[in-house]
Amino acid sequence: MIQLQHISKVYEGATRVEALKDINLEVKEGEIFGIIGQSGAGKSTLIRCINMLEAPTSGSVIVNGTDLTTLSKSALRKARKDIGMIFQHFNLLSSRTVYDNVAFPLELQGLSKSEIKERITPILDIVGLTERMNNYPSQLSGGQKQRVGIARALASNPKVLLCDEATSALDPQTTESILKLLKDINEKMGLTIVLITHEMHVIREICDRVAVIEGGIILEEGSTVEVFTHPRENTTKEFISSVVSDNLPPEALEHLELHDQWIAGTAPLVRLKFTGQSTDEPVVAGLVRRFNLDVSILFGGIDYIQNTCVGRLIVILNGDPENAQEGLDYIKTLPIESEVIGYVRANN
Amino acid sequence: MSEQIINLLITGTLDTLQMTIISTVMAMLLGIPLGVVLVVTSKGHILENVALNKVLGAVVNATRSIPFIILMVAIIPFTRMVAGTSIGTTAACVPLTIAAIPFLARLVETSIKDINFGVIEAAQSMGASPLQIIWKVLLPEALPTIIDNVTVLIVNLISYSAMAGAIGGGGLGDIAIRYGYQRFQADVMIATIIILIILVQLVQMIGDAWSKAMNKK
Repeated sequence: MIQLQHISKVYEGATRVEALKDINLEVKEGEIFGIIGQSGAGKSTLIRCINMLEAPTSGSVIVNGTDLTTLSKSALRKARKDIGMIFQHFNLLSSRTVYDNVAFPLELQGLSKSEIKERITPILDIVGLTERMNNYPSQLSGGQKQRVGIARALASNPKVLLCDEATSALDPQTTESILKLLKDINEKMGLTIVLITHEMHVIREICDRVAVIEGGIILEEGSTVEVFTHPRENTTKEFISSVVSDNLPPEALEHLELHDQWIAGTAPLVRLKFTGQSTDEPVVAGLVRRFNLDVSILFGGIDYIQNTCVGRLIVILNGDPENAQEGLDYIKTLPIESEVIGYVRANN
Repeated sequence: MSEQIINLLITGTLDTLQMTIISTVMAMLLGIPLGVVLVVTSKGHILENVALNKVLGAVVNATRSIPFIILMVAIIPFTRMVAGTSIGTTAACVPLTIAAIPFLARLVETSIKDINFGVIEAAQSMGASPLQIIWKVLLPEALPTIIDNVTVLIVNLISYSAMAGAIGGGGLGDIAIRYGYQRFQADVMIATIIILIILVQLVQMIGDAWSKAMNKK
């Protein structure tokens, strides 16, 4: 649906800024693709390149088979009607009512009043603003304003929806409802969505695939579950740790007297990671029953990422060191990931 | 006050109104588009044209730096060319308009610049042409402040039109100078001042109410 090929963007000026460096991305039809990065990473520039609000310095932007960088100004304006966009600060027209804001893109296309009404009525219903259609934006809450933004973007039946930090100005509950609405639209209308954000929970909530951007470069890219469970880059790990924590607090580690070596009187401290099906394995029960170990659970959690279960456990394998070693070997045979963090004072 | 003086004041008020209205309308017709052009041709805007922008900006600044009383005298030949005469209320409309255009243009420029650029970007993302952005985004969004701008302009023109009296422009200023000042008729002076105060108050009240009604922010 969208192919970005060798996109770079350079701002010439007193100081030359390379905002994007040779970016290659492909967004498939019907998916929700997330781009996450800190402020200044280039994500805003990148999403603006997709509808050419920012023209890339070099590279091609192919949307729905057309290379937008080669189009004339008027052809580009026409092409933009297939690409809706919503913004962090909504960018609604304060002088127009909700209805007239949603009607705006259709007015630009020269549709008649009755055609506009026919098109808008169901859209206002989808975003749940039928009752507020005669209000002005100043009379709405942030979440309602973003719903107007979404309705306005949907009015011209776009194939792609670009979301520029669409939930960053909203409180957590409203964010939740807006994300749900975006997911609904994606599923019901088959709309391809590209969103940029600095919040990992937005990615976890609705994105099928994710790209991590830093310093104008895509650090890594993959399915959301894959990136969440096997992050490669430190930046990615930091983003993930903001929503999924699998580390013991430092105070707890201190209290445990962590050793590097398995010396007498210590027991292994093990981190276990489960993904998808493997969460059904009765690992702890197996360790207890088969190897006669006292398994103390220090930390645990289960997350659902794109309907896939991701679990994490940190346990101490207390018991006879031989049994503990067998237990570790047993864990390795299971379809789960494990890592011995160190050795701590045994409880027995 | 004699009936003659009262008639004089009525004529003077009508002359002042005539000068103010004609030059306001002319200034709106030319000053608002100029203000729009000053914004949209600026760097990074929808019709960026830095050279044109610099030239227009310089012309506006030059006109605005000439004190009105000097401008009035300096452009007498031009006034004669346009109005056929350099004396009277019609003639006074020429310098008034010329002073008013850049004044209003700068005010309108500021009002339009105040619009969040994100709104313009949103319109661009929907495929709006520059002309559609001007008509459907910039002017409607800035309308309440443009009404305020015009109110300020009218109040200024009422006072400028009194200055036009000094070179035979007619109107309340002319009466105040000739009767109130040169003939020491304090009652006429006070009467013109009261009429001017009432005019300005009315204009300001109407302008404020209209701007408020249009403001949906």
